Amino acid sequence: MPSFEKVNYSLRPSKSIQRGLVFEGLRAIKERLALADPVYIGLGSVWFSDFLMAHSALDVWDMVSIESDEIGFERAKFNCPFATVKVKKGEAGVVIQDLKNGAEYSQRPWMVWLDYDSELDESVCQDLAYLNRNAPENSVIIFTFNAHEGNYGKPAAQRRSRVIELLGRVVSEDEPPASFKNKYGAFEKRLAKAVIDHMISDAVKCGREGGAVPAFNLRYKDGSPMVTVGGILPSKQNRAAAEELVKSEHWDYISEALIAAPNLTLLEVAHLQKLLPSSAPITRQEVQTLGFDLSDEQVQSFQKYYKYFPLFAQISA
Amino acid sequence: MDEVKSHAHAYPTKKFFVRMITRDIDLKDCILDLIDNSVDNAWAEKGGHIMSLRDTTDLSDFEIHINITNDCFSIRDNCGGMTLDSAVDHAFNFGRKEFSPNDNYSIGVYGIGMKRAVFKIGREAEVRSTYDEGGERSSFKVPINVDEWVHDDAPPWDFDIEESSDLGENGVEIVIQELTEEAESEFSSPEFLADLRWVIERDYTLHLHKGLNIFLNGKRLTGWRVELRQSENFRPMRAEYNDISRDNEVVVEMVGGMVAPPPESVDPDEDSKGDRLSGWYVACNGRIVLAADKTETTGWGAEGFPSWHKQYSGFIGIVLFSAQNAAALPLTTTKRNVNSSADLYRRARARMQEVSRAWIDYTNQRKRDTESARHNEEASRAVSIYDIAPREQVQLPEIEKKPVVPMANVSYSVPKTKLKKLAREMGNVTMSYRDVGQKSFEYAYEDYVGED
Repeated sequence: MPSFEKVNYSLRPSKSIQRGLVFEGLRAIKERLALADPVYIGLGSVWFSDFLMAHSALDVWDMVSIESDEIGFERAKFNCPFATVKVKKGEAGVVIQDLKNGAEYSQRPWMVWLDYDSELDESVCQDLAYLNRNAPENSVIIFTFNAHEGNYGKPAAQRRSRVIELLGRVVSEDEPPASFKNKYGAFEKRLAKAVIDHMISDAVKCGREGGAVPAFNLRYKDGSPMVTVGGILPSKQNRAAAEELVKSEHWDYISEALIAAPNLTLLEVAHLQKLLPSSAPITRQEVQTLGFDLSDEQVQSFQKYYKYFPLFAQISA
Repeated sequence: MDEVKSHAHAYPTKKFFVRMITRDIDLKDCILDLIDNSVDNAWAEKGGHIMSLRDTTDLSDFEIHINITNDCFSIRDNCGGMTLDSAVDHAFNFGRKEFSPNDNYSIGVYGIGMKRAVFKIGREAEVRSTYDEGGERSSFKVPINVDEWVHDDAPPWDFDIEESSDLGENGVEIVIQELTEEAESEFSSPEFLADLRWVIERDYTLHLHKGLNIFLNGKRLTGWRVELRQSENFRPMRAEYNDISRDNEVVVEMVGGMVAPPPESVDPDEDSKGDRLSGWYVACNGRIVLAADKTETTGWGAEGFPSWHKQYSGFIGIVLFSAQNAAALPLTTTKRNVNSSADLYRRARARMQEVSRAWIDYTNQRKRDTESARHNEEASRAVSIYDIAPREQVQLPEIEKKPVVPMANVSYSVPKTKLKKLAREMGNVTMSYRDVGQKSFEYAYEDYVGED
């Protein structure tokens, strides 16, 4: 079933927060590397949530949405939010190759976000390899995939073999299986690190002068645990600036913390926001004095991400 | 003709020299050259003798620490150090002087490794050594600034030796900074570091087996455990003979046999670790210089011999050449191949081909009855190469021809992602394609046809 049939992307709070973080990161990269006339490439589905942000937050004009499903393609064209968004039909790997081979986009930096809801598999790895090797200089490539451990086999030792099968020698065959168990998100973190290590190594192997600079490593969970990883493929001249940017104190887009946003009512959000911004952590007691209650984790999560917190309401006729 | 113009200049320039000696060697092999120097010192400390499979020398007192970051490379050992005389006369010379009786089964032979490694890795280096001389500890250091050094081509080509404080233990420390573009790029790659680790574990497996401690970025490396399968039907070969090369005696040891059952699938798309490890390994004075070779160098595809085929996976052969004078060994300067035109090596290769031939014949025969072949293979147990009994020929089972049941080969392609999902649901995501196909057939047969 195509993913747009399963879920309305805009109604997942953790996903919304992750999207907000990704675009904030992309904006910082665009500014710091002075990226001129970038192209946004994504899987817009029928909702185009990321495309709306690419235009509003990044001021990107030219955008390409990839859709492989027959009906999804017609619906995507119908729902296309801006005149400058082109919907291309086909598998991501094939469409991206066409973009690279055409004159229109091949010389401009790409901001590619392949936001899958499926697991990391051979076809996703193929897209990753192609982009790593062929995306124009100063592009940013980001991948989101399902990191639920069950998708990668069981027990843990078999999961390790599967990750080696997908990503090669960045994972050692004698690595303790504990990293591949999903206690406290260990597997999700290990998988994300393996993808990033693979990306860096592959960039070196294919002779990218600026290499690959990891810029995104986020985990979120609305249902299944999802991982978002990505990096900058800077020119040789821009490598130092890219590294400096992602190592800066304010770079919040490489994080061990799981984004697990609480489901809150409009009223609760409005009351909590009145306590913010605040450099001191909000306590559960403070929430209780507002007249309701949340767990410590929920309070912390809200305080950390409140700027990206979505508000949902039903509009009835 | 004017007298001053009667000779054409033929002096090399330092820049040319640096460029040429670093061009044909891999960065990893340069690092191995530095490890070789440490290993040679450790081996000399233990008296320098032949490193055979049955040798029991204990190297556990020695440590080699390699640290690699994005902007610095260092190697430090406690293997006794380099003396000042050695530094003055040999170690910094380009090319080695003639064989000296003190060359006791060393790996270093061409006298180029350390300099080449420094040039390949960076532009700023410092070599420090602390050693015992007449019961007293002495130290010196040799700073190398490559850009400054290449600036002046006038002879003599030398490096300044300076006084230095003592290292913690007697040994050598080399720190290289201002990395070359190649080194900076490779050192940032986790895969490069993983590969380097594997190459060290493989190529120094004999030294690691004797207890040598090698650390890469703080992590202790463990030697590759080479084990061949043995049973009533399967017996690896292990032979030894003496040969002569350039008037020097060379001891040749050879081990070969089954490391794992041959593959069920010879599909080239299916990645197989077994195939990657299979082939011939050649070691010179204990250090593996050619690994998992499946080319003409080790006899495959040479002189009417079959070329390597995935069907032959599961075979490993190791040949060890040992000589007091390393110049007698069939080594290339990069220590990543053998000089296959050396008569010593050719004679060994003829014997290696006999072992390979027995394995080729077996993998052809086993097609007659793969089921019983597999049963036999699985009944064998792994034995360390150090514990294999001497035996001139490899022993492999004779496979009887079975009455032929007409068979049909089924071949079809499906998207890899779908196959993997099916394998996962069948209980093993890493199951071979063949097994997924076989299981699928059995499932469909049961469903459509039922019991036979």
